Amino acid sequence: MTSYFFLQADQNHSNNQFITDIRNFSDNNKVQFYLINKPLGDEKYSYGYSNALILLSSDYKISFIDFDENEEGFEDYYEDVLEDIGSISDKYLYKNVIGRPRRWRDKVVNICSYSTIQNVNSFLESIKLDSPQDRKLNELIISLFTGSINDIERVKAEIPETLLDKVKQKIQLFDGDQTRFVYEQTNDKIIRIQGLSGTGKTELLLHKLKELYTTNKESRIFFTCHNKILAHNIRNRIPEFFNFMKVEQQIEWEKRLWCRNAWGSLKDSDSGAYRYICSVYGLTFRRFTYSVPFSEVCRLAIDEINSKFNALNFIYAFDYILIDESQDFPEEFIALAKLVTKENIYLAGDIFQSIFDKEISSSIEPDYLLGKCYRTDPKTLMFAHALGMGLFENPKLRWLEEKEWIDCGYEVEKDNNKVILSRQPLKRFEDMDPDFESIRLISEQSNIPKKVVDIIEELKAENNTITPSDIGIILLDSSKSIYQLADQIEVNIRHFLRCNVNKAYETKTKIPNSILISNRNNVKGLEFPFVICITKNVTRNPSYRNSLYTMISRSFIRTYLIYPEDSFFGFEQQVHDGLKEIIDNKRMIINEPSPEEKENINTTFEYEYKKISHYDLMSKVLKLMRIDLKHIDKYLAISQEMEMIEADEETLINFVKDTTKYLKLK
Amino acid sequence: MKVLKRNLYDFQATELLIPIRSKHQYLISLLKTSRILLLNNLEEGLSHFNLYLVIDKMRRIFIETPTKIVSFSFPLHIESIDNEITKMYTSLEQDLDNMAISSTLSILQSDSFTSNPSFLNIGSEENNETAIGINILNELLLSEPAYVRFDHDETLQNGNIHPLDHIDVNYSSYGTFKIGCDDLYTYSKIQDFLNTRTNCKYLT
Repeated sequence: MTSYFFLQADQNHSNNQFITDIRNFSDNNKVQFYLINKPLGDEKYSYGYSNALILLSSDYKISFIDFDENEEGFEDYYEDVLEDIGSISDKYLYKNVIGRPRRWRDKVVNICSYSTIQNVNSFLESIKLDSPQDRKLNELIISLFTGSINDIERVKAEIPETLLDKVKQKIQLFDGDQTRFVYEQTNDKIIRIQGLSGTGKTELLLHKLKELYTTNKESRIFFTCHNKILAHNIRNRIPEFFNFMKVEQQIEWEKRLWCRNAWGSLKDSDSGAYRYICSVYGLTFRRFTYSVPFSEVCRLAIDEINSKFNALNFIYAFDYILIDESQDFPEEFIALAKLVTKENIYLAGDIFQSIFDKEISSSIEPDYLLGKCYRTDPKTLMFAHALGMGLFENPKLRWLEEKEWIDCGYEVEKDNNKVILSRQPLKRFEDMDPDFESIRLISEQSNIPKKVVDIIEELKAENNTITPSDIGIILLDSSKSIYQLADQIEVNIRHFLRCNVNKAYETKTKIPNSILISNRNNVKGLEFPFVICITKNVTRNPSYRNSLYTMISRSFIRTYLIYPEDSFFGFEQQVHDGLKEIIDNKRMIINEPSPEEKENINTTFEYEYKKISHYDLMSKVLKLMRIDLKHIDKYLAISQEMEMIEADEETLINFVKDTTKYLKLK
Repeated sequence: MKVLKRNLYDFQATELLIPIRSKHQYLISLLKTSRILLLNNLEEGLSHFNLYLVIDKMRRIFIETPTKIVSFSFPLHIESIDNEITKMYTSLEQDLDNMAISSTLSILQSDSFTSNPSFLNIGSEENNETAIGINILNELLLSEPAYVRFDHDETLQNGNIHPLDHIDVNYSSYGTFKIGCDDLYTYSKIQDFLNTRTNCKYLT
């Protein structure tokens, strides 16, 4: 199955050939097609006539195709469907913009019998829509058929002038995989959906949540993610989303629906998934300490539940759990969730927690793999991967095998020892000049706050409808000095631009009408039209490079990267040339590493990239050097002071050796 | 005596002049002031608002505006070269740098702490950023705000109950009181008034 084609109708002898032809056309031309027999997403619509299909695709008229030659029955069928689409259009306020079906059916609806279709190509040619207005109308109606509802206020304006408005007003339609995830029923208890960040995972979970919440009116659902700011964001988004999707039921918070982060706090039993589970089963709640990881806490909870309950007295805490950013959770939490959930667990996670994850494709195969990243311009995403993995440098930091590139949504061509990587263009950006510079490199260190102000002034001049919340500023480094820099940037923005600023690491929430400044830990799930990434020191440390990749790809129009000159270890020119190739030719041409080089890359990053915290590494080093762990705080404080949080084991051993000479340890 | 001066931008003054009515607000003001002290503003002499840190036997912050001067305690220590602070730390030698300030402010301004100022709700999360703030807050919560405000208040003036020029001492509705004065006090007079090393003033 590809993500370009979606089928929801019974395949039979009479329609089989047509379905196959459309599927092939869709695959070969990489154009999204849906073949369905009724509007998706609302069980109440059903029709007596079964042997007809509705063909939907952005550039072609909506076509009702009869396979039975039963004129009367077919006419009743398509009239009923159009009437129902009319009422769906009314429900989602589209009617005020597109009018009643009789006003649009002549423009974008085609009714025909399969017997009149000679071949698929000429048929499609005959129903092709030429005018941009008709195509827009067509897309809006398709979104009603597929339940991929757009905010009509956002997309209704006629012809957007600025780039920002063009992208903001683009009509978004689910692709095949997304549609399958939302509407398909499966028999598995755990359903995994995987994709790079920006592939629309959270949005899909919200659609799934709506389906679950409205279909089963008694269900208890917990929506969780590891990080507090993301949980807070989603909690705010749910009522907005439900209103938007015209859900008539009230949200019963903390009765039927919870949306909290994973851990929670002692005082409030609804404050986290683990906390709530503890309260339901009367377990000992363990507060966060550095010495006990979350996996251990979950394992203890499972043991405690198993010892307290048996099959006879067991009760389920929830009917469904939806987990966003599931790659942040240990398997033990998933096991705990499985134990306490009656029906299904939906996991939405990134393809890799980090681009440095080992063997990404051979881990548990997801049920749905989202290849297309809808957030980010493909050019930005390619460049972000290239910088993250050091593809323009030598030696590279990371190399993916062909299947892994494909899983990440790449098209791979090989030409001798060169690998040519490209990505399909996205509908969201089709109104933009294809050569649009979606990345700008700025090498500047002397006065970063002033540079930031200049960039924002420039953005304001280019986009007269820009608002402060369209801009995100992300400081990539892990050193303490970024907080001082952030404060300086804040003062400059507030004084010179008279704009509000929201420092995400201080407020832990998104504040409307303000420019967000964040360190790399507080931007999960956030995206902006414009992102300004700032780094004072480009390193080859894998966790730094991974942040570089994720932060650069948080923009959907343009990312600015402010970095010091001569940052890329002698490969600055290659980085610039690589970016030019991406902008000009939409591809990366990379020398494939030799088998020996690949071997080296793998051993290096495996050695460097262990998911081990500074604390854990320090305890390991102290044990190794036979120093009592009670002194660890002293070493941690000094190493933090010396900005050694990302140091590797060898460096820490030397550091501890040197420091111990001067410390008075009792 | 060491005096550090910062000329405030309008937006900084607006933030700092929110009246202090609780220890919670005092701590927020103290941290925001400390942040301004740590940064060196870009331009001098732009606004009518000034911030002074005076370190003698007393350690106090003064915020000077054309109609009022607010002063509260500065229970921290600094090292400085000229007008620039190179290090700021608490009595237990915890560093108060820009990161620590953000960490502490993030706790003070969080919904859970605002509605129920207790550490019970905090610290159960996997977050090193928060841990720094908790330790600093633990220490700062024990400090005495020593809040005084010199006001020239035309709007609320009401005979001897609320004299045009007066000093407000303390901030809580149950502990505050006014002392009337004859004249608007200037920054240097007030500094002298509060300085324990200079002659003290008599109520006559």
